[in-house]
Amino acid sequence: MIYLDNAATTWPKPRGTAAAIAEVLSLRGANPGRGSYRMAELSSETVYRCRVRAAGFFGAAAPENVIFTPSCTHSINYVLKGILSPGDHVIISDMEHNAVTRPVAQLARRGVQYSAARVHEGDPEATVAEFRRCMRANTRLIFCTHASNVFGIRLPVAEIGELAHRNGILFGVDCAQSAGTADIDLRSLHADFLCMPAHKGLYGIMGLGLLIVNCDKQLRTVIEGGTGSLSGVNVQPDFLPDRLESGTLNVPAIAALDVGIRFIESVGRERLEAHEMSLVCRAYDALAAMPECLLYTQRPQTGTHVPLLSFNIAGIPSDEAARRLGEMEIAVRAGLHCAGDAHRKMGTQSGGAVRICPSVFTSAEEIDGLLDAIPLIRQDA
Amino acid sequence: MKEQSASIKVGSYTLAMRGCELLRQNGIPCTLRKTSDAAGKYGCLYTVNVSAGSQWQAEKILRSSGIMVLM
Repeated sequence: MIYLDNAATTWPKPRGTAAAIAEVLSLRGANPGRGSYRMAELSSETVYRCRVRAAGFFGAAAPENVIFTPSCTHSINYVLKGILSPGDHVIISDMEHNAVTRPVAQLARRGVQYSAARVHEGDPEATVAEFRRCMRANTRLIFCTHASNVFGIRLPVAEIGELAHRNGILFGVDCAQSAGTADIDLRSLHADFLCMPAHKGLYGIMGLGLLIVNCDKQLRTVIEGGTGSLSGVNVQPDFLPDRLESGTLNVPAIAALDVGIRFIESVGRERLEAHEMSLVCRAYDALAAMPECLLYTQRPQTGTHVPLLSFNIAGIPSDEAARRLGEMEIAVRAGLHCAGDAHRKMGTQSGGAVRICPSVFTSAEEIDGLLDAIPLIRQDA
Repeated sequence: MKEQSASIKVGSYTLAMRGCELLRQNGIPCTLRKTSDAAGKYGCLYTVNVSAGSQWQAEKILRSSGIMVLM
């Protein structure tokens, strides 16, 4: 199979991932941060080592600033609902995933106001100006995606973060599609909160998200419960990570994430990004030369895009194209990609688009396999 | 004669682990232990155990690194 659905989840995983999970299940299977016996200590240590690694990878001040959550969506909800109160205003972009737009819409029903700033592809100054235009006296938070999960367009988050902080506004970034691929340093992005999944560009497995915190502002808790700490009192601990980590952690997924980040460090993030971008550009150039193919963005490039792209084949609905590719053992994702706003912006809301995303394991030959298959789809239509 | 040890209470495993690493980097040997403190006000917590003679310095290092020491 040619797997080009890495924007949904990366596959395959690095060598050593399955072994790390098996080791947790067989030798480190106790609940972390709870018991005092040897296996519980090993489990806690597994979690701590990954926390340290993630903190280093993303430039967090300390390991406790790395919060493990069940998913990136949970992390985003923790930030939005932990900060915003009725009467507050939040700015998002017009390219957000539903993980952002749905909680924001829900908050709006409770009296939170929001604006969606227009993103200008390839024009960071214009994009920042749009965010500036959306600012109000009651703007409490700017929260936006680092890169569109459909079109790969990157937002100038460092500049947006600087704008936010200059105006006393908190800043959060959805790094679902950029973590592991793009250069992300919490401080240089001026971000207070980074949200990301473990199972995409970080090469972990499903069921784990990260929330990386870089400010003293305490988030209101969305979930309270057992943390293995200060159990004698019926209030949530006020220190991180425990404040935001109620319930048992997904240790097998945390062990897998540790392998994933180590893998990226060993390959080199820049090398990985360059490899994936070269594959996306190879696909883009070939698709652009096919008159029947519709592309929606500029030619992707490092800095302004992450390595993924969406396209359509004229006269063939995206889900039909994906189905036929699937029959040829080529895995892509069609439809709206849980990002209706992004499709509305680009004019693809009626039929969606076919999205492809390589990983470090994808070869040029596999991209050529996709390109060879497209004329065959046309012939069948 | 064995030197007396002191227990420094911190809230979580993460803080205790980071605390131990910091103390070791500063030449202070230590161990980490989960305790119940069932009779106390906190319940489950962690202790960073150091020699009694280095307790003051250890607590100072922990506090200066943002690790809250519980009393």
